[in-house]
Amino acid sequence: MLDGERHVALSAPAGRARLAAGLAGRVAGRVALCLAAVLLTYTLAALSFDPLAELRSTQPPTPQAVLDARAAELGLDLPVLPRFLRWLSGVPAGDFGVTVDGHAVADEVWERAGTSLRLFLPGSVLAVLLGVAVGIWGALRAGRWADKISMAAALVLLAVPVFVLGTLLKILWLPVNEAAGTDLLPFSGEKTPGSDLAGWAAAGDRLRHLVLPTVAIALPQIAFYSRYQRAAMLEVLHSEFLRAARARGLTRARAVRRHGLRMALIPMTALVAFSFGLHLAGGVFTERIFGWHGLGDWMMSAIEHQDAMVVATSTLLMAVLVVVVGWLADLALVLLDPRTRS
Amino acid sequence: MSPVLEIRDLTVAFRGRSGPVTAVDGLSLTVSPGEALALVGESGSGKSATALAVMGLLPETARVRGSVLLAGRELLGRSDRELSRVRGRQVAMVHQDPLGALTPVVPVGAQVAEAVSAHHPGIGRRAAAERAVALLDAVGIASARTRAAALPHEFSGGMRQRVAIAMAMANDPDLIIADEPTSALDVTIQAQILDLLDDVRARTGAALLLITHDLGVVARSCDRVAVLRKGSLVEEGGVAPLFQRPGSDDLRGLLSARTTAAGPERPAGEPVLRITGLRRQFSPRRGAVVRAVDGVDLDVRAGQALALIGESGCGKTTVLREIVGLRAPQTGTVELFDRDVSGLRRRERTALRERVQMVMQDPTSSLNPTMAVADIIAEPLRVHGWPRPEIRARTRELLELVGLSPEHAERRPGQLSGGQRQRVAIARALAPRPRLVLLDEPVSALDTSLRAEIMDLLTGLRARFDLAFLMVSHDIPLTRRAVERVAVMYLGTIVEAGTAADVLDHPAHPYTRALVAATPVLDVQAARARRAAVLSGELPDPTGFPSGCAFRPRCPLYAELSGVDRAVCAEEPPKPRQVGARQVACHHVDPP
Amino acid sequence: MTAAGTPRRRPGRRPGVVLGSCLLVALALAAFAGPLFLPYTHTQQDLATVLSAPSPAHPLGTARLGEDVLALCLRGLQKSLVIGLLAAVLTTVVSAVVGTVAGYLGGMVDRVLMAVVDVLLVLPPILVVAVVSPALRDQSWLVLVLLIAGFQWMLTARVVRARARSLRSSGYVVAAENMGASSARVVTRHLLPQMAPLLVVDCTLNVASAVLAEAGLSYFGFGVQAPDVSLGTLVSAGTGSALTFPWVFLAPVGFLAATVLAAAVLGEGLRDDEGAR
Ligand code: SF4
Repeated sequence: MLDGERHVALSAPAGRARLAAGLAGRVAGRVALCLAAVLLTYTLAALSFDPLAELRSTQPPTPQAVLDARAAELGLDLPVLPRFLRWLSGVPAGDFGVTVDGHAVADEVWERAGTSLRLFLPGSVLAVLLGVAVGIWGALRAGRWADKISMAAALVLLAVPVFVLGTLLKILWLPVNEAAGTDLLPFSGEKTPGSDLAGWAAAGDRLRHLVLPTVAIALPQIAFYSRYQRAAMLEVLHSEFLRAARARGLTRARAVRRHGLRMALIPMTALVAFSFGLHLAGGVFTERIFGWHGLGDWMMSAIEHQDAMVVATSTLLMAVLVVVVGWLADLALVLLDPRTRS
Repeated sequence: MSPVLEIRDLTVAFRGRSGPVTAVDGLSLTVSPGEALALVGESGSGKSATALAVMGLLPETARVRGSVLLAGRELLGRSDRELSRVRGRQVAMVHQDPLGALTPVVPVGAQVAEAVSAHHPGIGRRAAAERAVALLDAVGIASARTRAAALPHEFSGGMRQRVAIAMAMANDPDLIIADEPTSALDVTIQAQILDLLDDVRARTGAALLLITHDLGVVARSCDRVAVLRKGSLVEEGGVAPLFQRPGSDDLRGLLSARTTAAGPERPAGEPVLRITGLRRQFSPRRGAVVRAVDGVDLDVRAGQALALIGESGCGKTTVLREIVGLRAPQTGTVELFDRDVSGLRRRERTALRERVQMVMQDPTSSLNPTMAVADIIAEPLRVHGWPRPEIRARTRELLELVGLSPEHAERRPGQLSGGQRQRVAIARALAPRPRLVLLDEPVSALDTSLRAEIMDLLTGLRARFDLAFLMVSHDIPLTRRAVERVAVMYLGTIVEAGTAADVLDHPAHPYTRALVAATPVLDVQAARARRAAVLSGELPDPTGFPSGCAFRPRCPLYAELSGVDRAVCAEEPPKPRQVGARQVACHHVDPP
Repeated sequence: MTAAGTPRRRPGRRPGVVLGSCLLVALALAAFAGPLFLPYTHTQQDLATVLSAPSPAHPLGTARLGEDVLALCLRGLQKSLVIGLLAAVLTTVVSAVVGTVAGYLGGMVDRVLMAVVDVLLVLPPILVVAVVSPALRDQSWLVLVLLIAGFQWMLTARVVRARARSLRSSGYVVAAENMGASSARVVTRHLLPQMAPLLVVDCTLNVASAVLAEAGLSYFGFGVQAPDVSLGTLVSAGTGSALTFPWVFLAPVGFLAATVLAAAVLGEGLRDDEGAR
């Protein structure tokens, strides 16, 4: 890998400018996708939600005037698209609208987003790295027992839904916690509530809270990525250019390191870019199971409360994350594959 | 002198779905220092497996027995690490597919440098890079220093093979194994690469083990030849005596494909196809224009065969596509059976398709693998609404016509051999009783020994049904035996047209002369005598148009001209002129 | 792949295919025939044995109101299998149509359809379905099938499109066009037969994803609604007491994982088979 990096260095300034232009173009496309996805979700939410249902079902019946006033307050008198645009126009200034119970969405959004990131990112980064490692490791041992077992394990892991996996982890870990007589790895929340830990102790506390959810987030993704990485690496291992590299005197290991790895990583960039959105669902489930109050948890309760603004906001932030990850994948692709630069 | 390579009783078996499959079966061979040995045989005869066994690069599942001695040292059974010290230093390899053999994302210079540094660990990166540039320069890559930073896909096929040869010669090996090094290349480029290989051997004193199916290449470059069939040695000996008196059917079959035979002479009938002023441009990217076809006139008459020949990229296939589309061309006219296709209505176009059929290059891809042979042959009839009983009768008749038996009707293409598949494709084309058949390199995807046979089948069918053929080809000997008339294309224009006897036996245009000269012939003396006549350079970037004659940068005649004559070439694009019975587009070819 | 007459391993002989199809058949039999042989129905409450651990009388224990967990699971399995199969078939039909149209026609149609696919792929489909499902809560579970299919077809559509595109330029499609065959003929005679194995593979794998999607939605309360039960609702109901009465949780989880695994193993086996051609 390190050897491979040498070829990567971008040479001419002209090439660099072209590269920047290309990456910028891709960003524009991805931002458009992101907005379209948010619009879609918002439209679905606005059309199907009925935030007035509760008011309407009160006994005695709420007067029509009150209902109308409430509807106007929530902007329900406007058609969907203008409502969406009005909401969107506030976003750059940090105004995400109001929740159905009248709070500014902005009050809560950043804390929620932070929680989600702290939960989801470590697990996902770990998953991509380990998935790639396991896949390559398996491809190099293709057909042996270790490979067969890891592939079977991956298949089983993919058959277990994320929300089950989290609970299973709890069941498996419970005896350990009980034996220790204390919550070695806590099952719920981001930190011990009401504790006045500080400094390293607080960090340790957070870390202990993070372990199980991270495993729950990472395992299925590791299974997912490793299967694809293994297939990609196997294809490279059978390639003519690898044989040619050995023919000029490289050992198999060195040929794989210098030529195979890089080629096998190239298809993974696209895979990460388009599957990241799918894996977000795992994060949402995990938040619920481990009691982290992040965006996914927020969105789920917003659906229960028929709160379109919160749904739109949390969708937007998730979509932004997808776009950023997609862009990072593009960047990785361009670094790995100089053919994409021209 | 002790042999540089000695293979004794080599057996290679691969694991197949139903037990092991033997690829090489008890093969023994020797290569002396400095010698060039050709390994020939049909595909599947074990040539490549032998080469990979010597290199120690067979897949791990392969089982190898016997002995491979390189300069007296046993190679079989050695570890990857030990072999890696031999590979690339004592024995180097040039692969068939020059694009596949280069890592797509690593600059070619770095890959050549790697061949150096793999065997000189202490050399340092800069020095290795310098040596790489020197090597690229030595194999004829212009401005090697800047080109070294380019990626493989930015090179042409010929240039990539030069890069591969640069790697092979990097450490002065004792033996170079070349596995079909030119079969993906045009004849003109093939000649350049073979010359380069000769040159490299002269410089390094390396022996050559050349794997090929083209006996013309053998005649040109090799001292001895070994013929393989199903992994065993059939015969072996000096090239000249064996070509005179082949001892096996295998060699005879291979030789027949290369024998130059005169083609048929048939009277021409009414006009079938007439093309005038045909042009076709593409823009591969914004601002760039490729004039793929740049003003072509052709006509084909009933019962007659016309071949379009030239290097790949000269526009010959585009001409075929323009015709088969039956639509108005960008510029110019296409008339079929005296009707201009641009005025056709949908109905008429479909009806016309019955009379114009096409046979494509590769039967493996042109036949739907899920359909039975009978259905494939019947498809054009169904499309054109033939009644059922007639379809059945016609299908049976066609199978027999192309030399297949009735039991082939129910097979799938995957159960047929390559030659049989192309027979099916021919039957399909003839099904609706066409008048004109377009042939796109109809035999180039087949094994060499089958080519002549299929070509002769086509010629026989043409005579029998008075068909007209328009054939695209780059194989000059086969073309010679199958057609009456030839048109030679270069960069979208026809540079010479006339009877096959005139154009191919006595070429007049400098390009045709070079093309004919580059074509390998079987006569060992003649093959070697021709080496001087290699055409330099490759097809230029198709988006740039030189003024005057497009062939000028590569024209050997231009190089010998006086200043005044050169000026004419540089300013005026030559128009086709009548020279004797043929048309030639060159200012400086005069009637004999 | 070229060698003429090489014996190809028949689909039935791949271990994955055998294992996956046997397991699926066994599960289906259990789901539809099994309840006939049980002494309890899934609604029968036995308040004397509430939340009891597995015993000879109740091999998988009992649930909160004393229902037999095995009877519940088999009932849930029925619903999950039906939803999974229907949604998978629907998904495959949608993706085959969209993919073939986009890939074969190309141009503007292709660009528009692929843009739709890309937009739908930005967010996890399950979240989008969750947004609409409360409004449809009172509808039949068939609506759920539509929703799952409606947001699950994109990946297969992409694969189909890629295949259709490469087939479009393949020799025999060009040959058919040259002989004057209509687009309809090219699609039905050449494209679809070539894609059939691919579609079968994807359909099988889609069963696995549809079962998972149903379970996920039901877990959040957005899927199958009472009085219907599915494996998803059972897992969801069991999660709360997973740490105290694990059998109420583990039993439906086992059935769920077995179903998904069976479909996935079968699908992968068929895919290997297809790839070997
Ligand atoms: S016109 Fe001049 S440059 Fe062109 S082929 Fe003739 S001699 Fe050569």
